[in-house]
Amino acid sequence: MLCAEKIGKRFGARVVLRGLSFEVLPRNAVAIVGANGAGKSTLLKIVCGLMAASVGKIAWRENGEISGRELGQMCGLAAPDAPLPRELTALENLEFLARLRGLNCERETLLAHLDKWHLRARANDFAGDLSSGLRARLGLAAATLHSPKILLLDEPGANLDSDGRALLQNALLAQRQIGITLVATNDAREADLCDARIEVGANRN
Amino acid sequence: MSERPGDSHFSNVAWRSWRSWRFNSGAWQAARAVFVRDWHGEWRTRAALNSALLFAVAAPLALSFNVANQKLAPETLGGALWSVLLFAALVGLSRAFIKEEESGTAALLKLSAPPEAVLWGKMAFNLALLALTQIAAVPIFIVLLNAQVESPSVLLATLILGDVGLAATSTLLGAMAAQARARGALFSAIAVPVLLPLLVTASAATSTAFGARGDANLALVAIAAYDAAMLAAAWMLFDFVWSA
Repeated sequence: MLCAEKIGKRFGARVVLRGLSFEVLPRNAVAIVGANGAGKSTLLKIVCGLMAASVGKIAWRENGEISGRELGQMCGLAAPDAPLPRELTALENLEFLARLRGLNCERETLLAHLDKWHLRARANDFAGDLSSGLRARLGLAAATLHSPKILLLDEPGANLDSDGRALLQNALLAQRQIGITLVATNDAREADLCDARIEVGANRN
Repeated sequence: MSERPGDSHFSNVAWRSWRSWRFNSGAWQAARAVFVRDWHGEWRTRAALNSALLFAVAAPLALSFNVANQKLAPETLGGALWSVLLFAALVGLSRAFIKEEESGTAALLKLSAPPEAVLWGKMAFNLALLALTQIAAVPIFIVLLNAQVESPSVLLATLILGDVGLAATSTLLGAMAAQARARGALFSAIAVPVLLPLLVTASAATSTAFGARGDANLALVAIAAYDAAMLAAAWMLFDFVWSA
């Protein structure tokens, strides 16, 4: 399970997160809710190691404790401020990520994964040429490519149409067989797909 | 996993670097992926290559107008060649990391790739960019400035060793500068002083290749020592720079 103990984050004099503790059990999905600027995206970045917490500790506990870079390698992140290279095609992006992570890079395997997100027909289009909704789907396809134990989604449905939202719902269900999901959102429909909520920014001064 | 030897900061740094080198078996595949992706991206936009090539060709052309019909001393030619190559490199090499920060894709790399894969992949890309620039720039320089190459092997060895030093230094400093707001200016400001020893020795070796008196071997050994120092520094420090 994922355990956070008294996580705090400060940017200069501005306190974003203060004393945040939670546990997420395997197969659970948790929504992170809060006002704009409350620290939802910051918390996701702290979980995957892209940002260091000012205080506190976060770790995966399962036959021992995993934290730091090893914890980051267990994560898949789909976020608007972590985009994919626009100069690569959708298929090249997945191939690049597969090679980085030492996964199966066979074309058919990657095309099948794109197909899950209804992107097969756009496999050879540059990511920069896709609409914002299709780019969001590609980001979700990239985040789930390595079947991460911890799936981190930042406003995942922001640009998705009804078809995209249905695919997102399927992905959240599938993730329950693999590990946990943290969804930073202000959308009640996305929060309702989760088992529990963490409200950030509620105890700030 | 074996115990980490020693408690000093230096031994911690060295041990982390060694451990990542020794035990991360997928790092080379990932480094190749970083190189191929950068190469694809560069080939499609040609942003860094065009800037470097333009400078590397325009500078000797401008010089040749000013020194038309004059025979320049080998020492001057050596200095001029490396000044052109250095500034052409500064134009293009910093892009490897700056574009990652500007486009937001640095987060993806940090999350998906081991740091050593990013280091060696980016360094190989910078080396390829330098080699391509020099394949175009050096013959143009030699022709336009009427340079006589007395020792092609020394010139070739200087260019190869100089490129390794330039690539190693610019990769490490590019990663540092990319974290700052004034990225482009910072890269040049920190790169020039660090590259000065390389510039001086490479100019001396190149002057010898153009016919100046002096011991080319001594200069080549000095460049090789610089390369070894910068490669070691990049290998040991990159993890901290990239994770900052």
